[in-house]
Amino acid sequence: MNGELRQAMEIVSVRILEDAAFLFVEPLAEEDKPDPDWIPTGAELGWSGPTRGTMRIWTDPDFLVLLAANMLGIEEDDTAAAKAGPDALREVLNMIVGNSLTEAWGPGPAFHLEIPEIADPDLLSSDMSDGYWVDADNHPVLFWCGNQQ
Amino acid sequence: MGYTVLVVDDSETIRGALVKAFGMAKLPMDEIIQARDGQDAISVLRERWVDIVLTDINMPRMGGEELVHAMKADSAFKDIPVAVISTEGSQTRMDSLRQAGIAGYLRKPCKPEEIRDLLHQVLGDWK
Repeated sequence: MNGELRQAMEIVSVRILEDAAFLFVEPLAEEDKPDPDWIPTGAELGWSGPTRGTMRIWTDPDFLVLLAANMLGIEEDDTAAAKAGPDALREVLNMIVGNSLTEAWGPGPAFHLEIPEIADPDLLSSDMSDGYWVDADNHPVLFWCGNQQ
Repeated sequence: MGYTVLVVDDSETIRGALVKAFGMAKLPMDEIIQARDGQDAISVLRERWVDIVLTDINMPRMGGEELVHAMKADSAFKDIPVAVISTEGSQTRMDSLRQAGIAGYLRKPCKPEEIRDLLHQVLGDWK
C-alpha cells in the first residue's frame, strides 16, 4: 500500500466512523482479529486522476445494521436499518475515500470517484494480510487500499 | 411557512440522514423532496417549484456537476439556488462548481448546524 495514502486512510477511517456513524473506534487487538474463515460483507471504490487506486472495507453483516441505524438516527430493530445496511457501508467508504485523497495529497488535485460497489469475496484473504483493522463498537472492520502513481 | 428542498443523492442513507439533520437543526421545512440522481432531479424540477437544491456530485446517470450545468442553462431553473454536499475536497472542483454558479458547498460528513448555516446563508432569513 502507498505509505501516504495508507496513513491518510488510517486517520480518516476512524474519523468518518466516529463523525458520520457515531461509533467508538479504536485499533483492533491482534487477538481479536477474525479467523481466516470469516465471512464479512465488503464494498470497494476506485478513483482516477493524478493517481489511480482502489479502497475496500470489510465488516460483519450485523455491523451494517448498526451503521445504517446510527446514520439514519433510528433503532437497530427498525426494518429500515437492515434494508439500508449495504448502502450505508458503500456511503461510508465513499466518505473515507474522498476525505483520504484530500488528506494524502491536499486540496489541489481533482479526482474522479467511481460509484461504490459490493467487493469480490475472493479479494478478502489478501486484504486480511496487509489491511488496517479497527474495532468499531466491538465489531471488526478491515480497510485496504491500493494506489498506482 | 417553510421551505421546499430537493435533496439529490444516490445513497438512500444519505438522503435519510439529511432529512434527519433538517429536523435536528429545527429548520422550517414545508416539504423535502428526494431524487436519486441528476436526471431524477430534472424530472422533479419540471413538475415542482423548490426553494433550493442540495446535490451530491458522484452519482450514476447524471452527476451533480452535470445537474448544475443543466439547471443554469435552462431559463426555468437557472435562478433556483444549488448547493453541493459531497465527499470530495478538491479546490479545483470547488472553484469549477462556483464558476458554474453553485451557491454553497459542504463536505460530507456534515453536522446539522452546518446544514442549517448553509441554508441560512443561501436563503436568508426564514420565511
